[in-house]
Amino acid sequence: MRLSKERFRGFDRVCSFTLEQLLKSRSNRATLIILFVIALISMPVITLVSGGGISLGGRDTIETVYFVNETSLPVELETAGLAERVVYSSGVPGEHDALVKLTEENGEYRGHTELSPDTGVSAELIVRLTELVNRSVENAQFRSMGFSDELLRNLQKPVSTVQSGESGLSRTYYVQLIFSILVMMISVMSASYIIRSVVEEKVSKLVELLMVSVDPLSLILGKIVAVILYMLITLAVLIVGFLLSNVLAGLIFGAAPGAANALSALDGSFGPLSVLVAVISLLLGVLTFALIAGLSGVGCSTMEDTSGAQGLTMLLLMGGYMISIFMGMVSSGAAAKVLSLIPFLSVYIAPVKFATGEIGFGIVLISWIIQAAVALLMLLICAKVYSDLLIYKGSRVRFSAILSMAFGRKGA
Amino acid sequence: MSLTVSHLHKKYGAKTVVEDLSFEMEKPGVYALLGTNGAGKTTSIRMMLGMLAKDGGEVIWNGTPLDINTCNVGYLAEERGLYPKYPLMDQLVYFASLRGVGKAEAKSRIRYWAKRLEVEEYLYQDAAVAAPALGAGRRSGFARQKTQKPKLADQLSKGNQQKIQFMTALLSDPELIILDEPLSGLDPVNTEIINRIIREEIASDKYLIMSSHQMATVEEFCTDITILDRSRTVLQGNLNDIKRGYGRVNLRLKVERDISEYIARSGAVVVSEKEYEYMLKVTGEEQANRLLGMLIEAAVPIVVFELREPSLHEIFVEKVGEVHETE
Repeated sequence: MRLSKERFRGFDRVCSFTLEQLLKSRSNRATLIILFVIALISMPVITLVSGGGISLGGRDTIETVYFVNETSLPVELETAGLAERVVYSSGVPGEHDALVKLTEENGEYRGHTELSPDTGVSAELIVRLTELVNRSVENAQFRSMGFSDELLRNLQKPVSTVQSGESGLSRTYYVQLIFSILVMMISVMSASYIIRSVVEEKVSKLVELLMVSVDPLSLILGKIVAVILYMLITLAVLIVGFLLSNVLAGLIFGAAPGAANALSALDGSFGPLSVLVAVISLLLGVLTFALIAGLSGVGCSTMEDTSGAQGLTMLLLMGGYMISIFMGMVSSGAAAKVLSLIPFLSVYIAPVKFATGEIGFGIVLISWIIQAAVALLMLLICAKVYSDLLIYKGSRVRFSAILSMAFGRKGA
Repeated sequence: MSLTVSHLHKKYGAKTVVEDLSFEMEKPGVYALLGTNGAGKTTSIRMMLGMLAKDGGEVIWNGTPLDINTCNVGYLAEERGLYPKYPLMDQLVYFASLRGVGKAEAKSRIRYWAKRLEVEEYLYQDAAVAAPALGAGRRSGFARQKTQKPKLADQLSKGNQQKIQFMTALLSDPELIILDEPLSGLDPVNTEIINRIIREEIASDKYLIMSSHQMATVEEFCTDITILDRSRTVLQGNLNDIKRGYGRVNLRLKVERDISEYIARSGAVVVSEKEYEYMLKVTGEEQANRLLGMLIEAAVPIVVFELREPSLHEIFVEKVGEVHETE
C-alpha cells in the first residue's frame, strides 16, 4: 500500500469536472434554490408561528394606564419603560390603553389587567404590565411595613446565577441534536452520491477509459473532494439564506424575538474556534464516510447493488447519530472524553463537547489525529484494491471481503 | 520507437488467463491480437496499460517500461461507454484534459474529429440538421434547416456513441493506439468512416495494437499477428509469412458444366459448390495445375480459375480448431 505522488495524477481534473457537473445538474440547482428559499423564509415564519410577529402594526408602549385601586393599600403603579402615563381612577376607562384594577378580599389582594382592544397596543405588553402591577403591590406592602426606598432598591438588586442543572443539559442537548442532524445530513448525501457515482461509472463502462488516464485513487478522491465542496457550497447557501432571513424578519417584524429564541440554543456556544473545530471535524468525518462509501460502491457491478452497498455507511452514520443524541442527554465528563476519541462517533460528539466546555482542545486534537488516521487507512485500502475492484464484474463484494483483499488474507 | 511485450503472465487463483505472451513492434504499423472469446486478449491489453497487475513479464516502450503517464496512449476499450446524463462536449473536453490536452486545444480537436466522424450535429448547438419540411410530399426537394440542442449520450444511437468513444481515443493525438474491437456493432457506412481514419493513423506512422473478431479488417490493416486461445499463444508472426507458409491451397473454380468427376480424379477436396462454382481445397500448385490440365483437355469452358493463400479467417479457424482437437 503506497501513496506516491503519481497516485494523485489527474485528481484536480476529476475534482473540477465532478463539481462542475454537480453544479450544472438541474436537480441539484433546483435543490439549492429550494434550500435557499426555505432558509430565507424560515425566520419570518418562525417569528410568526412563535408569536413574535403579533406586534405587527401594534404599538410596543402604552400611552396611558387607567388604574383603579379599591384596596386600603396605597399603591404607586410603577410603569417605567412600559407606559408613559398612569391615570388614577379619575378619567374615563374607555379612553385609555390599559386598565389595572386592584381589589381586596379576605385580606388578599387581587389584580386585574386588561388592554383596551381598539388602541392598537401590542398584545404581549399585558404580560409585562401584570408583572409591574405585582411588583408595585409588593413594594407598597413593604413600604407599609416601614421599608425605606433605599432598602427596597437593595432588596431588588438583580442577581445573576448560571444554572448548570436540568436546563443547562437541555441546552447542550439541542446543540448536539442540531449538529448531529447536520453531520448526518451532509454525510448521508455525500455517501449516497459517491456510491451512485462510482457504480454509474462501472455500469456505463467508463472505467477503462478513465483508468488509462487517471489513477483510480485520484478518481475516487477527486469525486469525494468535489462532493465535499458541493456540500460546503450548499451549507454556505443555507447560512446566507438564514442570515438574509434574519434581516428579512427584522425588516418585516422589527425585532424578531421568535427567531432569536429559536437560535438561542446556539448563542454563545459557537465562537470562531468552536466553528473551526466543527468544520474540521465535519470535513474529516465526511471524508472517512465517503471513502467507506466509495469502497462499498466499487464492489458493486449493477445499480441494484447500491442499496446493499449503502448498508455499512448508513449503519455507521445512524449509529453515530443515535449515540450522539443519547450523549446529548447524559452529561458525563469521562464519557464525553472517551466518545470524542472513538472514530465515526467523534465527528458528532467532539465539536459539541468542545463548544460546551466539556472537553479541551487537546482532546479535539487527538480526535482529529484518530479521524485522520482512519481516513488514511481507508485511503491506503483504496490504493490497494480500488483498481482491481473497478474492473471486477460479478456479485457484490462485501466490505469484509474488500478488507481481506487489502490485507492479503487467503481466500480473498 | 519500439514496443516489446515479454512473457506476460496472469493468473486468477489457480486459473491461468494469460500465459507467457510475448511480441514485438519494431516499427510503426498495426499488430493484431486475435483469439476466441476469453482467450486473454483484453486481459493482456489491461496488463500492458497497467490497469491490471502482472504476475510476470514486462512491457517496454522505447527502452523503458510502458508508463501511461509518460507515453501518449489512445485506448478504445472493449467495454466502453459514456456518462449517460452529462453533456457530450463536457465529457470530451474532460477526457482530453485527463490526457493533458488544454481546453482550447481540446475544443479545436473535437471540432475536427466531430466533422471527420460525422457527429457534429450531436455536439454543437449551431450544427444545422437537414430535416424534411412539413408537407414535403407536395413541395418535394425543399428542406428547412433547424438547429437542435446538443444531445446527451443516452440520446445517441449505439453506433454514434461508438464514434464518440473512438474520438476519445484519438483526442490526445497518441503515439500508441490500442483499439479493442473498434468496429463491433457498426454499420457498413460507419465501419468505412472508422477504417478510413485507421488507414490515416497508420500512414502517419503510429503504433497500433488491434484486437478484433473481424478478420477482414485485421487482414487489411495488420502486418503481424498473435492468435491466442485459452490464454496461450497458438500462432504468431508476420501475416504474409504465415500465409506463405500455408501455400496456395484455396482454389476457386467457376465453369459451365459439372466437373465433379475431374475434381475427384485430381484428389482436391470440395469445400462448397453452387451452380458450377466450386471452392476447393488443394494441396498446392501442382494439384491445382493437374486439375486445370484435365479441364483443358476435356474442353471444359473455364470462367474463373483462382488459386490463393488461405484467408486469416481460415487460418484462425483451422489453428484454434487444431488446438481444440488436440485437447
